[in-house]
Amino acid sequence: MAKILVVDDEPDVLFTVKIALEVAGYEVIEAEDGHGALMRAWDYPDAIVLDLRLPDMDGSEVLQAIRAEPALSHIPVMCLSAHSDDQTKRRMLALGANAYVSKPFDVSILRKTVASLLETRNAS
Amino acid sequence: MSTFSRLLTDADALIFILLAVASVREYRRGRGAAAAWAATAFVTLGAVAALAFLPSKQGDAIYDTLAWQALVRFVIGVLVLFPYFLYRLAATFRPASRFVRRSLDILTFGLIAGFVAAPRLPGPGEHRPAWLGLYTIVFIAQWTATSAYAAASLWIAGRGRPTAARYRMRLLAGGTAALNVTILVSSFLPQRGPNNPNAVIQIIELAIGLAFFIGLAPPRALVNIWQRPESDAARRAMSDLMSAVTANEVADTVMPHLRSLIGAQSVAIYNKDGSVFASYGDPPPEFDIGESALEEGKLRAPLKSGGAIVVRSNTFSPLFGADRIATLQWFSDLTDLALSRCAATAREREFISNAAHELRTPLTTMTGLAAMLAVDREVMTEDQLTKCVEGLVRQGNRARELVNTLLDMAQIERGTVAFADDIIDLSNIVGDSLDFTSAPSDREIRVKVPDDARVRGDAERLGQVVVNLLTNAYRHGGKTINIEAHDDRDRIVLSIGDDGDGVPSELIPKLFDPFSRGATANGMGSGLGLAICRRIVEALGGSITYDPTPEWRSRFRVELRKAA
Repeated sequence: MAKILVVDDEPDVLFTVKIALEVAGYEVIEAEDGHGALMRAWDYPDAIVLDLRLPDMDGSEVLQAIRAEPALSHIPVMCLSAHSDDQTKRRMLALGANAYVSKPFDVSILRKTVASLLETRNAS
Repeated sequence: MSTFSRLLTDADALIFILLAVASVREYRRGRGAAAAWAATAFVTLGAVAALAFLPSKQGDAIYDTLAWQALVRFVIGVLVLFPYFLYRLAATFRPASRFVRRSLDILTFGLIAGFVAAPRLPGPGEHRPAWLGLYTIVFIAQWTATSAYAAASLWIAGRGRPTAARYRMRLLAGGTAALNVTILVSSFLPQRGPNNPNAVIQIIELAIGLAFFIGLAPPRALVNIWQRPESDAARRAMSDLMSAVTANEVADTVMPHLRSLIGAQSVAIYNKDGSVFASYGDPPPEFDIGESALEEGKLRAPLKSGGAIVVRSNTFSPLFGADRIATLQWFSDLTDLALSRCAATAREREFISNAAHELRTPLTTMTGLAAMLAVDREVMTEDQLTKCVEGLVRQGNRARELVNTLLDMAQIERGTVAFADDIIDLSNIVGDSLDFTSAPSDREIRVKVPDDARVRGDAERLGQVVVNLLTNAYRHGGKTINIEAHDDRDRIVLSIGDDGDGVPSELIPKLFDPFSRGATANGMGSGLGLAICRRIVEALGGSITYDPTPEWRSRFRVELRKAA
């Protein structure tokens, strides 16, 4: 069973993503802030769903930290953000995000995106 | 001499005297080199004209008197100087070359010196010696050269100026040329003395006087007609300005119009601190807070923001520039209006964007949970189902509260909410709010509100403020919460603080703005609480400030009107 790390400071958003992924058959581990996300990343999740607005640090900082660490840099990351502008999206993709989904999201798209992240990871 | 002829002579003299008065008035109004030269020229001409009112004594004997000889020399000197002063006026707009300057100086002052040094000048009708013929030729040459140069310069300098200024300069140029031609023609006509004035020449002189007069001090109605092209351009500029939505658009719209309307080389809009907000043309004119509104080559109009619009214009002169100052002032008023409208629009946009952003979270959760309930209900565990439904209810409530708060705030802002003006027991309000909010069990709450603390206002709204401040303290504050009230002259000050970490310093400047929230807000609250508190307290005639002390690091101070 693939393990997904979900990072969001909004308990209800976290809960929604968690249920959506669990129902689809994934194991979900959670973090509510950037620090927690970096700690849980060492549990080697198969993919990370990362909110960009976190209380202690910016989502992009978390992403950069993960990409900078050789042991973690292979983990695919999907950004989940309330910013729907192209500029943020391009910036995050340039920083190494593998996918970008803006809130409010469609559950089926969330699941499909996570599935494709895992596929690309397995293929490589 | 006939009555008609006498009338014409008097009218001629009168118009040139009036012209002198008008030119001095123009100078006093606008100052500047051009106005000074204009005043000098027309005062000299007026002085000669005034001589027509001197009693004319008859008899040849008078021509031998020293007084008559001095007077004639004075009149000739002044006459010689008139076109010279006009040339100096024209030179303030179009500087003459060194050669022209030298030649006209030598010709003019040489001629004056020649007349002063001349032997006895003959009276009208007397025999004219041969040397006087030569003097007359030099006199005509000086007048023609100087007048022609002045007229041409004024005519050319009028190019590229606003229509009214151009017409005025051309009237002065035309008058100068016509006066010269008249003098030329009359010098070839049979000798005209006081007893033999030529009526046609006098009528032409009257017309020239009128042209000078209109050129120098045109009636308002005429200026309005002349200015029609500028008025049309200004109207277009105004409609462009009204459709600008950002401060930069306002600057980009107003500056090219100003440049063409005022005939400027460059335009700049300055901020209050003297930095350039936007500039057009090159290089931007300098700006100094203390300088006067206008000077040769530069105009400045203040903005309400404390900044200014400054225009650099080589063709600007106070003599022909009064309309331009008015135009600039009008534009700066319009710019002020447009800028404040843009600021309001920007605030509104930010508010809408923030509100939409806030609504996204509950919407995200609700649509997600609802979609799962619709599709995955069969495969979900009982626990997951329960949590889904609970989440839906919770987020629905959150969205409703947010929308209610937004509507509430909009209504208070619009002024459509009626606030009661009752006498309220502050201790009751605090007690009710504490009951309503139910503090977390680990908090200690200290209340020191005197029983007789009574304020004026709306009990329900004031309760809303206290509940908001208490909720903030519960969410973000320390273990101990302190509520106290005391008198301060005609006010009662209510302080609500806690011993938590206080508000992060970067948040303080925008603490009472809508949607300003700390990073540790943890998704709680709408970010509208303090914004709405401020609106309510201000509507009740009080004030609210963040007022931390070493003991209570996040303390809010609410000043309310004391009930008499």
